Amino acid sequence: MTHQLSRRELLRSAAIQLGALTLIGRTPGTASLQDPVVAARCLPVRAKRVIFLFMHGGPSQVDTFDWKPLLERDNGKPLPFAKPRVQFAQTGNLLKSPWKFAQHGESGAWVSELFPHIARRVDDLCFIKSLHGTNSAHGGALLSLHTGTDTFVRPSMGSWILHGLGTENRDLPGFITISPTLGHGGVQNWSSAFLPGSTQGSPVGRSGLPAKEARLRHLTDPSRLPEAQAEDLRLLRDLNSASRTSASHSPMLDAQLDAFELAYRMQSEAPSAFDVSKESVETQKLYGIDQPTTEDFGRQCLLARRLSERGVRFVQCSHSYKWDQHENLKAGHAKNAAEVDLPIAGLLTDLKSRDLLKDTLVLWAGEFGRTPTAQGKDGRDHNPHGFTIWMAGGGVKPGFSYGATDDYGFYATQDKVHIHDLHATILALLGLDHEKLTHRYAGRDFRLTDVSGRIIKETFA
Amino acid sequence: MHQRETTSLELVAVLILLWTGSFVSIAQQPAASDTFEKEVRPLFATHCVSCHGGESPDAGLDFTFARGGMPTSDAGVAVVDRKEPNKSRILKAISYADPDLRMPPDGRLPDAAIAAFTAWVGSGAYTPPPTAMPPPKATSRPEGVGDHWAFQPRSKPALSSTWIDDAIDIKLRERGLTRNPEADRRTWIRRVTFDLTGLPPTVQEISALLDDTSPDAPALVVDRLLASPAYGERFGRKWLDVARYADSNGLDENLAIANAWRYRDWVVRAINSDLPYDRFLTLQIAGDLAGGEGESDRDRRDRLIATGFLAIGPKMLAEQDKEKLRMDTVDEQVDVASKAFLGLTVACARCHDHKFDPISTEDYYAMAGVFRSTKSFANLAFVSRWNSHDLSNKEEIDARATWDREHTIKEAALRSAHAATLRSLLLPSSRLKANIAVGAARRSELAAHDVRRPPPAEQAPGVAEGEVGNVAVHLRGSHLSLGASRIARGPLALWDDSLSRPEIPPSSSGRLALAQWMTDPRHPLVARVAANRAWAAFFGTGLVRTPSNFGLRGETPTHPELLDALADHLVAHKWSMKSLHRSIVLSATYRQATATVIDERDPDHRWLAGFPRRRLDAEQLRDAYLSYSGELDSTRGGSLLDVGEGDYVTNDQSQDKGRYDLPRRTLYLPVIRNAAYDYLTTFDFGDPSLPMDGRPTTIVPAQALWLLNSPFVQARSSALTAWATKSADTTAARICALYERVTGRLPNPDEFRRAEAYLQDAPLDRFVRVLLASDAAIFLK
Repeated sequence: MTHQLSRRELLRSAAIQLGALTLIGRTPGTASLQDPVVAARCLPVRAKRVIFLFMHGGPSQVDTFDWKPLLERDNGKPLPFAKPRVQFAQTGNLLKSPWKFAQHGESGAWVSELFPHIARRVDDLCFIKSLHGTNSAHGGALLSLHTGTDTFVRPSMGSWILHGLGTENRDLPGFITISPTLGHGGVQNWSSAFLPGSTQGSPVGRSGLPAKEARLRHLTDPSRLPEAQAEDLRLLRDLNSASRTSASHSPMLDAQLDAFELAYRMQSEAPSAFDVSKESVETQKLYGIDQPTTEDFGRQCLLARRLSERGVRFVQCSHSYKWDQHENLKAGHAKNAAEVDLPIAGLLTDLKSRDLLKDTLVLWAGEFGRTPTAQGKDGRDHNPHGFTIWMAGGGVKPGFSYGATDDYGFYATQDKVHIHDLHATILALLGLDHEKLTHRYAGRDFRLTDVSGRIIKETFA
Repeated sequence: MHQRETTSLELVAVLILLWTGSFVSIAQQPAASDTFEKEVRPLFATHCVSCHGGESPDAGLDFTFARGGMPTSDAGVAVVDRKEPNKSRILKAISYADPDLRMPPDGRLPDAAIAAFTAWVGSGAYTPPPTAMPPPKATSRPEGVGDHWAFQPRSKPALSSTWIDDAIDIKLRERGLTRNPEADRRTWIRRVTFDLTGLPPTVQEISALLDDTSPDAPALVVDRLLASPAYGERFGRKWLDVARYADSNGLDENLAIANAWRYRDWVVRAINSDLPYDRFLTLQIAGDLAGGEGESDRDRRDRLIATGFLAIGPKMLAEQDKEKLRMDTVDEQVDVASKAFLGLTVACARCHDHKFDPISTEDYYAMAGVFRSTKSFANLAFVSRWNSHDLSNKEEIDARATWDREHTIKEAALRSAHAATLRSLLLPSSRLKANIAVGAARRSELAAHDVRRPPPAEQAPGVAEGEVGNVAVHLRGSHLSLGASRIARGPLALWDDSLSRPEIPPSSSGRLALAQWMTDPRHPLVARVAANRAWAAFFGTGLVRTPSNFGLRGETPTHPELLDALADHLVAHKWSMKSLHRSIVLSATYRQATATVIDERDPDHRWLAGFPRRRLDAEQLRDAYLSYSGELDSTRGGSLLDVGEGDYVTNDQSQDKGRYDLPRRTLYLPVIRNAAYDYLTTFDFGDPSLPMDGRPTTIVPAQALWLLNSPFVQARSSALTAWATKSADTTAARICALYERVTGRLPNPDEFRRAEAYLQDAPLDRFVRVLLASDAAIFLK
């Protein structure tokens, strides 16, 4: 075992601290001020990690957080201004929200009755009500939100963040996406593209499978006891050293052995990290794991907290492709909201009580919003032109709202925030300058924000 | 972008831009500006703008005058004193009278220059009007081929019989290094067999080489490997990386390109038959236009299939702005074709002139016009569909038409027999019976005919000639704001002095002309790019480490003369890749022993003072494990994706319809964009939506977990254990047999001792698992 300890010491080398056990892209000792990753870490660090609650399908802003009294007044009338040049589908006249809105908390934020639990936490939230993108189809909009572009294949936001900050836990992957969808861009939404492969998101489970069954792949081998595995690893080390000539030295072979040892440690660390049954009954209740409606997303949220707590930089939870109510808006949005409302409120409460909220950025967003005009009698179409997201914790201004849409909630009009701006803001909260976090590929320096991005400093605490 | 260095080249570029600008101004302001443009602006350009110009001019003083008017410093100090011109700050600075204010700082200007400035200030200090364009930015972009190595014609090195080794040795000697001695034959045959076929050598193949002591034994091995069908599978997969091959669209609507495998199989066939590289290129760009007299049916089909190269890219099929969809598709085609064949990132010039390479937006839209004139879509429906070729030949078309015609006739006959039967219900029963009999006969004739129905037409994704026309520059890349005039479609203008610019008939997209331009033996890039990819296949990295970027931001070659010699060899040997590969693997450079020490003079083995060790890539590793366990199914070609063309392969429920559990070569497993087989992505397969610029080798724990715990390795390990148990009786013999099968060599005494000690307490299966994960098994040295 002494040999193992000395190897552990070795593992604390600079390369591992940076979290990239890769030979290409990040070799030990190459980090310098010229390294864009180092140069990019130049802003005050407000958040150390991110939990992204992704509402796949496109929740309606005008039925959740963006209260529009004129929409209620003018229900059934035509939209008094032009609809977008490119629309996903044709929509009719204005459709008022089926839900009542009320003001909550000291901040007086408007929340519809869809989110009674989140409503009690509004004083922790920082809304952006003027987000806008361009793509009105799910695939393009998901890719925009996750990678900054719907035109090219680019690294995902989580990969950029992990690339920029490295990992805090050597025994777990630094970017984990829980129950992601394989559709609408699939793996590209957590892909490292041309960044080092170690920054790729590790999917656990997938959409369509219960979150209860979400696991890292190949984590265990039931046919061998841990002691046997330790023996096997020792033999592997022995055979490898026996195969080398006395003078030979290869960083690649060393890295390979390190990877085996990290994998071995992951086998003991990860199962407990993923085991939410270790939590108290009260905590499980807080997330709604005891109720069938909230069980699945509650598990995702609780898992997100456990992973964040252990230093995973970027955790994404996906409420998969449920919010796409072209019809059955009333029933569909009510069901969806009921599935996530309690778990999300529970997550915020839990993070706060563990003093994690102060440096964990929670992001709630769909790929777009929905039209205030009706599709059919009880539906709304996709709307990337103005929608609402919120952030919490991680150095954002609590109980605050930024930007606005027009009187009916169709277009972002005041203090517009493009998806590039949101990305720039998220990176800035993590202490990363989005203009400096670059990566050279095919002869060009690429950024998450391409050539755009305005940091919305107004949202900073 | 952030680390731009100011070079003399840059300064020259600034001057050129300034001069260009000045002519515009002269035309607008003939009288007042004349003196300024002729005498004053050149002085500013030469002496001042390297600091007082560009994106952030010193002190905020921009002496390019692009914004119009006289600039004022950040501190608010005026450059020119309008009331008392002689006291102007600029004149004070250039006079060198004030020790704290001397400009330019590196030396006082000549008297004539000072006189010109003084006269200019004295006469009212005319400044030009603002230019309509944004201020010219300092950039390193040259105007033409400049002196960039890759844009020059190839040198013509004289070739000796050891030309590869000579070129390597010269550079080694310059660094005080020497090449390693030859590797032992076991090491070399394992290396060359994996490199040429992607598979390990069998124990018999190893023994045969060891027994054959003749000097040409290695050459015979190489010839055997080059003739093996596995060669095309190995190099086919390498090309498929470049061609961003996949069996599904990916992006927004992940539909199966269920016939893409025909393109994959064509690539394998083409490489196995050593199709000349110029033809290989031409067919992929313009196969539909490259037919010849008296070609075989197979050749005709292959030409059409080859255009799949342009058709299988990811497309945003549900993009509702269909013109954007078309231009994004064109862009993807420009990107893949220029990276794959030219080693240039032409697509950078979609929104603006290329920042680093001499490629203008006009160049981009010339090439874009070629692909915009190409039919890439079968339709532009809500979810649009890519174009496919019907591969049928005339006989097949005729057979189907004949069958259809006869089917119609026979159906009609059956219908009239039925009608007759109905009518005869009121007639005597004999008539009725007779008519019923006729009806039965007609029915069986029809049934017999239906059985003979010819198979449906075979389809392959591919492009054809479309609506032909030129396109205008899309300002900032947007199809909603077009430039004034259309750009004549065709290849890049960069080598118009040295390469003949092909004629493009008005009715043609110009793809064939583009291919002809690329395959001109004098083309500075195409053969170099191909030769560099060939080299990289054997040494892990190319002589140019950016195989898809030979532009100014690409890396320069370590051995430029060798690269030119390899390219020349390729062209001189009728573009035969096999011939080039043969020369490389028989060189002493390739046959040398592995580098075992890190030499500071050659830390990453770029100078090749030793063969660079590599880990087996994803395909080699999986195929090798299946070979060791004796389970590899060497069936060639075909599809393992059991879905119809255009069916969703992933959907909201995230079903994945690919099958990965068959013991076929990894090349034949489905490649589903957005949901690539996790084994492949774990082992650096990369994203099949992008042309892959060589694969990186990452070493991450997920790979170790796969090697330690995956059911795949467990199953191979069990089969290999069973084989060892059957083929040898003693533990010692089993260890040796397993070592030879898995590593191509016998265990050394130390390895043997440790294995034997371990097996005293543990079952053989566990030893096999460890052996399969050991360095000796997963690395190529």
